Amino acid sequence: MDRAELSITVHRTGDEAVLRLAGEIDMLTAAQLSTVVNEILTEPPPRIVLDLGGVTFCDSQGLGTLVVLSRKASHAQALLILTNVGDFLLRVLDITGLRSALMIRNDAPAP
Amino acid sequence: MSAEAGPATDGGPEEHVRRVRLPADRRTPAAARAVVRSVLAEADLDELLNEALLLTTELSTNAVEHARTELDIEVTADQVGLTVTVSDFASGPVDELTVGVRNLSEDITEVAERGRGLLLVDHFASRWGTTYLPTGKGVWFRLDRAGRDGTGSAPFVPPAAGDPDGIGQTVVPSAGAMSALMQTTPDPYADDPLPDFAASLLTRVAEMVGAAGGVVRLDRGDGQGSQVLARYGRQPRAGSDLLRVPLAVHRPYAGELELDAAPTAYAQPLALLTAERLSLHLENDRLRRADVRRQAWLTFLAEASELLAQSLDVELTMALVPQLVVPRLGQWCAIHTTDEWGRLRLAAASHADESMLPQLHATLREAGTDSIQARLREASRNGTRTPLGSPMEGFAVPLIARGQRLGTLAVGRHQRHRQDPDEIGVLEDVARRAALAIENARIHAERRRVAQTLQQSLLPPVLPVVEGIGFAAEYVPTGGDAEVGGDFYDVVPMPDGRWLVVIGDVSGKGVQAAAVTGLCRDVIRVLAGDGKPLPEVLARLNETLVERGSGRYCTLALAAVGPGDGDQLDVGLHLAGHDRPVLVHSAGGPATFVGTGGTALGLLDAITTPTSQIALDPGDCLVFYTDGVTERRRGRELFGTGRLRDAAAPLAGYSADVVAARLRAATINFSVEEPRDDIAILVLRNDAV
Repeated sequence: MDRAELSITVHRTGDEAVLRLAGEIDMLTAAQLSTVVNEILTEPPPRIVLDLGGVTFCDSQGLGTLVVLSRKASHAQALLILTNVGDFLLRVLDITGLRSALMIRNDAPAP
Repeated sequence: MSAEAGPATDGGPEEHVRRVRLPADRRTPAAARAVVRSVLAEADLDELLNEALLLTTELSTNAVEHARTELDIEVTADQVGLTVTVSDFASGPVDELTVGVRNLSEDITEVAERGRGLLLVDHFASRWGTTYLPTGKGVWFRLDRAGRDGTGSAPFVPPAAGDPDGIGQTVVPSAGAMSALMQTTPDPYADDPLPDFAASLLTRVAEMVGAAGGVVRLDRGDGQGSQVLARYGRQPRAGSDLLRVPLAVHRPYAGELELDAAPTAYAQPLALLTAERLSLHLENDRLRRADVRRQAWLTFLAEASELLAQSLDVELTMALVPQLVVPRLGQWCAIHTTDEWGRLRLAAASHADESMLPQLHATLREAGTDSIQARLREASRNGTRTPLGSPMEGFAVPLIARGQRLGTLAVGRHQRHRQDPDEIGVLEDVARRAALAIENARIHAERRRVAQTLQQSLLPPVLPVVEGIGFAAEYVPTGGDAEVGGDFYDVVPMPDGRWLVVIGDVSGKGVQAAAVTGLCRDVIRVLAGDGKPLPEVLARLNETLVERGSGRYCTLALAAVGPGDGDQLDVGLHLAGHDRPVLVHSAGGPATFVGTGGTALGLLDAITTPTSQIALDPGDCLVFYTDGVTERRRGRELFGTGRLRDAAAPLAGYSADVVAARLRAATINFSVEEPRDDIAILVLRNDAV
């Protein structure tokens, strides 16, 4: 309960917004992620990078949120990229068939 | 329907159990994860952490979103794995748990947002299922250590009762489990106990053979296709061994029991045994449903017959039949009748969907070799049931009554429901009854037409117009009925220049009474025309009736009217058992009954025929009437002669037409009921100025 929060720090550069996520993504915190990304999408940079390195948990609600945000980003001519996706989350993305639909760049160096 | 299956939680020495109740809150999944995390740490099962946290979150999120009640989370861990049950307190039917499908699209705009929770549970869990508690329902999953389950290829085998150490080994069913399997019975008080019974059997057998999942499918042959009657555990994975046993049920039922288990050792015979037990109860269900359906049809037929029998109106009967048939027996219905040239004409049509009615009419109008009309002609000509092709799929049955082809009854098939032989039988029965009802209504209409023609012929078309004498008559036949009343009246010229006023009532009704009425009228006309004295006319008529009247009798009032003293009219009145006429004085004062009663005709060989002489002053009138007037009913009350006299008194001075019309109105308005007997009123007035 005490650890179930999600913290998001945003770094904006010219053509990129990097969101560093730490904590858990579930029904409690998914809305928080949406809010932050939606705010960025009001003036979308070409790329929005979600650094999931600090994410310890992500459930199907989190996956649904990632799908919605990717879709919104693509409508706004921006690219939503996931980096530092953990092994278990990658497995979950494989199982659900989302790995090919979402943009994942695990080798991309975090700025 | 999901399988009812409680996770195996037999207590063991190495077991760690934790139960918490959490609110329906967005923080609840995180709280549930904390519980699972601590139990896994205690049980040294950290290798299951990721999966356990994910699946716990999925189940608790689902419960928070859908049940909106408090949740109970129960976490049980042993040496090999962990079971988590999330139960809620929502009443009502259990939502269908659907496992979402894996996404196949690379285009993010086509990817679904939701529906992955159970997909993940189904993928990761060794087993999962639902439980039903009196307070609510629960969903549970089981995770086993790698090596036991790993990729999900080797199903977790729960400990069967009495065999707690049998995990992962060949299961030998215990006597207790066998006995439970044999003793499971449907709830005798439930409306539809089969799904629960099937679920219970399926769960028991699946646990005994160690199946990871199972399903019982049943097709009741009602057009809905194969339905899942019960489900247990997870859905079978591609490539896993399935054990399938057909259910031994009779047509139109068909079904199978499927277990996600290898057909090893006891699995096959146990599956067969379960299928046999299930089949027995399904057969019962089939017979019971067939019985209920037949009873419903019998009731329907009885009601239809009663409705049809009550209608003696052809148009109404035709309109009634489609209303009876739609929507119960078909999507649409059309009745065609055969006219005297053998052509079919649309009499009535109905469609379950009102908006489709114009299209139905249009289709029914189409002509051509493949048109419905052509098929209907075929049905009528051959006298057999004939199928109708699309687009108005259905069939037509001929309407035949007493060997006569009356038309056709066409019925459209229900869209989502095929017509079973019972329904077709019922339809043919309806057609037979409808044909009889239509034929009866036709015969009745014909009889009524004959009766009315006959009755009209018994009354003079117009009363004569005579200087100084006013004649007026009102006649109301019995309401709509085919029964002719025996009332008649007439005004006949006599050779001596006087006029004979006749009003009479032959006993009984119907065509025979009408024939006797005609006889009376003619005998009086001939004898009076010959100038016979009135007592002789009455005597001769009495003789005729006694001889030829077939037991009927007649009351009669005869009045010979001629000029009297001054401008008076002389009336010689003979009453043969008839009610005395009312004399209304133009000068005002109370109206009086006049005349002396004599014997009704046709009863006795000899009659008395007293004569009364009455003088009518100018403006006086004499009102003759039949018992239809005095016996007009309001409930148990009769209109009576007193009311008639009181109604007539204020009419002094009015013309004969007005007096007759007013008295008729007074009689009719006395009651809201239809007249049960003919009403005849004849007014004779001294019109001298």
